Amino acid sequence: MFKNMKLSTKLTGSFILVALITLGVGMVSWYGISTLNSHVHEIGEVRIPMKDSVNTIINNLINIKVAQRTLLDPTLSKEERQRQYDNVEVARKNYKAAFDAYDALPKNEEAAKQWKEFVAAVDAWKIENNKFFDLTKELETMGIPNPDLLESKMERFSKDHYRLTSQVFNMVETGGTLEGGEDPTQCALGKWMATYRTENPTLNNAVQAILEPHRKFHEAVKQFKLAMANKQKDKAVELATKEMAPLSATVIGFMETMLGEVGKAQDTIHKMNAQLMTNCLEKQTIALNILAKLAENTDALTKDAVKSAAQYSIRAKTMSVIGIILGTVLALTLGLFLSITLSRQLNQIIAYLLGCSEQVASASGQVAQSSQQMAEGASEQASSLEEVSSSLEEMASMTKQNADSAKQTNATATEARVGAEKGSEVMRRMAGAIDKIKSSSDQTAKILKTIDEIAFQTNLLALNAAVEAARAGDAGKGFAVVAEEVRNLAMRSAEAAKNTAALIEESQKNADNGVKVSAEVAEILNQIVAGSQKVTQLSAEVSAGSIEQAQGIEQVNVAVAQMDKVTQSNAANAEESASASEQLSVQARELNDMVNVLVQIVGGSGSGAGLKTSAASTHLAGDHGLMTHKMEARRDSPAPGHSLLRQGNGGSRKAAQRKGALATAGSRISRPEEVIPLGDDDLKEF
Amino acid sequence: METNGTMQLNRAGKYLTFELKGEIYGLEILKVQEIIGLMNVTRVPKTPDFIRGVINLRGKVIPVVDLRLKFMMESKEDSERTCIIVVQFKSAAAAMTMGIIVDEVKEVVNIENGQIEDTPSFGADTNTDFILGVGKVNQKVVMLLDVDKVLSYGDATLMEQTIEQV
Repeated sequence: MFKNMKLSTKLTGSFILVALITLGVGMVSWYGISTLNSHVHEIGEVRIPMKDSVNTIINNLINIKVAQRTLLDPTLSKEERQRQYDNVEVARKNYKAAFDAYDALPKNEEAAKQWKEFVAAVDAWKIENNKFFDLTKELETMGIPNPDLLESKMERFSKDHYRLTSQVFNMVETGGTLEGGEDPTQCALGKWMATYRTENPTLNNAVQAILEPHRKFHEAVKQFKLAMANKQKDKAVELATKEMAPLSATVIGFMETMLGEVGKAQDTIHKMNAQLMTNCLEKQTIALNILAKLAENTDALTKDAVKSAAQYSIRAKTMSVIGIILGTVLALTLGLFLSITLSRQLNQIIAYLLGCSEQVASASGQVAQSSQQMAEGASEQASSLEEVSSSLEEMASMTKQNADSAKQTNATATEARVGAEKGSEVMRRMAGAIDKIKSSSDQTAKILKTIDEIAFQTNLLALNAAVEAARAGDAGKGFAVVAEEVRNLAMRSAEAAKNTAALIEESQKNADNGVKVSAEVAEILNQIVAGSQKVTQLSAEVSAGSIEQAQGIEQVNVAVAQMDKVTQSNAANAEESASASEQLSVQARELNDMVNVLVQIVGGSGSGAGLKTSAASTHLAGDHGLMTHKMEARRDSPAPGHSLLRQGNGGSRKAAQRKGALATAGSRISRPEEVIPLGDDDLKEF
Repeated sequence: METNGTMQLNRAGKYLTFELKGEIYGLEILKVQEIIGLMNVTRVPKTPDFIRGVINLRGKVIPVVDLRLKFMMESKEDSERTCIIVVQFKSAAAAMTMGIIVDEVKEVVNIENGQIEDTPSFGADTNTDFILGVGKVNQKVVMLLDVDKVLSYGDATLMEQTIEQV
């Protein structure tokens, strides 16, 4: 069934099959992918957002926690605090968004329950957070972000100034030098105060209040140093005790005030801490635990989903691979089968075509050869015909001579016959005469025979007489004598009769001879007559035959003329067949070229059956051309005076026709040369 | 001319010569009754070949013998010269008259004793009793036959039987 389909059907069917296979494989894959997509969608759109949301929530809550913790850091600047508030806002916003997102997502029972718990917990935590933030705001309003630092600074400053003061006093006591301390701006406090800004009015006031005493203090120090340098110890002491100490006490008093504020702030911070560390932390922990569980749940679900997706993907992959393998194998098998079948068929056809084309080429070569031979034969035939016609003319003249001779023979034979007839007439008469002689001799012989018989009987009688005489004895002696005498007489007569008989016999014999001879002569004359009659007859036949011969020669001439015509047409046909064979070989060559093209298509550009017939056929064509030329020459040479063959103008016209045929044959011969490069060009285009 | 009815050692006498197959034979004239030309011979069945048959001679029925066949010679066609010699002879029983067919009758010759020679012997097995002797006449040899013995006893009896049959 497969073999009977058209090629286009086969190819289309095969491609459709392959397309179907591809479609099948694709559909398997697509199905797998779509299922995976749904899984992935689930994971991506649900689980991961869930996880994401949960994580975001966790992160943001943690961020809030972190922010809170950060806010606990007293060293934060206002910007930083604000940033933390901003972070908290952002975190809250994000949290809200994630919260909403998670809320919107589909949850299973457990997750929903947990979610509810979480919501409750988070709300509780929020309350605590808000309390915390209230505290922070409170702190901020206090304007002392880092009370500990301030406190330490204050302490340091106090210490510094105490030290300075003690150093001063030391100097006073022990001498020595004192480095620095003169410039208020160089003092740490001075520096600090220069740059310290706060919103706390108390502090501000304090700071403002400190400025002057501080300056004065340091002035005092300067003065002291001067004094010391100037060895004005007393002044120095005075300075020290009267000015520096109270100034320092003032400063320190203010610092105490500040410290009071600081303490407030520290309280607040403690509260914050407490709040954060206990309530917030508690609630946070609860919420975060719940979230963690939720996250775990989500994770588990996600992992499940991922696992199932992975499994499904493995299954889908397996199916795809199977489908691909199947499809590939099927397609390959189909393609292989198809290509093998087609190429085998094509190869068969090609082989057959090659064989056929070779056969055609060889056959055309043979045809060319045979037509060449035919042409040769035709030319030979023409020459032979000329010879035949000349011979025929001689024969005609000969025949005429024969007829004349026959006529003469006829006349002579007639004369001979007449003479012979006369002779036989005479012979008949002679035979008659001899017959008469013979008959008379016969009669005489008869008579003689009678006489002989008589003599015999007489002899017998005589013998009987002798016997009787002998019987008679003496008495019969005389009788014996008589008997003897009678016997003698009988013997004599017998003798005579015998002689006569002999003579008669002889004459009879002669007569017989004569009869025989005359009979022979008559026979011979008859034979002569018969012969001359025969001769006459034969000469009549000969003349008739000569006439017929002449007629026949005439007919033969006509036939020879026809043969000449036929020979000419044969020659023309031989030429035509030669040119046709040339064309045939050209076609065979083209066929071979096409087959080569086909072979190249089927078998790739490596294979190629060579073109073998071109040289042979062109060679043959060339030979044929030569042959026809020769024949032309022979035809055209005028044979001496054979008007039977030369049909006047017809001959030369025919020659002209043949020349024209030769010219076209020549052009046809030259065309194969043009055909071959054309074939190569066509091949190159492939 | 001596006439003797009895046979002697003297064999001289007249003999009738006849020819048979080119040879001349002689018969004693006294034994010869007559000579006649060939006439119709009536064939007798169940007789040997040499007995040609019987003839009617003036009322008498005589057996005729073909001497050629008798002598074991080949038979010859009868010619116009063929004659029948009627002879009389004595067989063991009685006198018999018999015809002998011969080719040609010659003549009657007179043969003297001096012209007669004895029959030469041809050995023990051949019986030449029927030849009286051999005569010489005119440089020719004539075998003189003894008629009595030419026909043997058996033949004579046969002859009688033939006659009786007829």
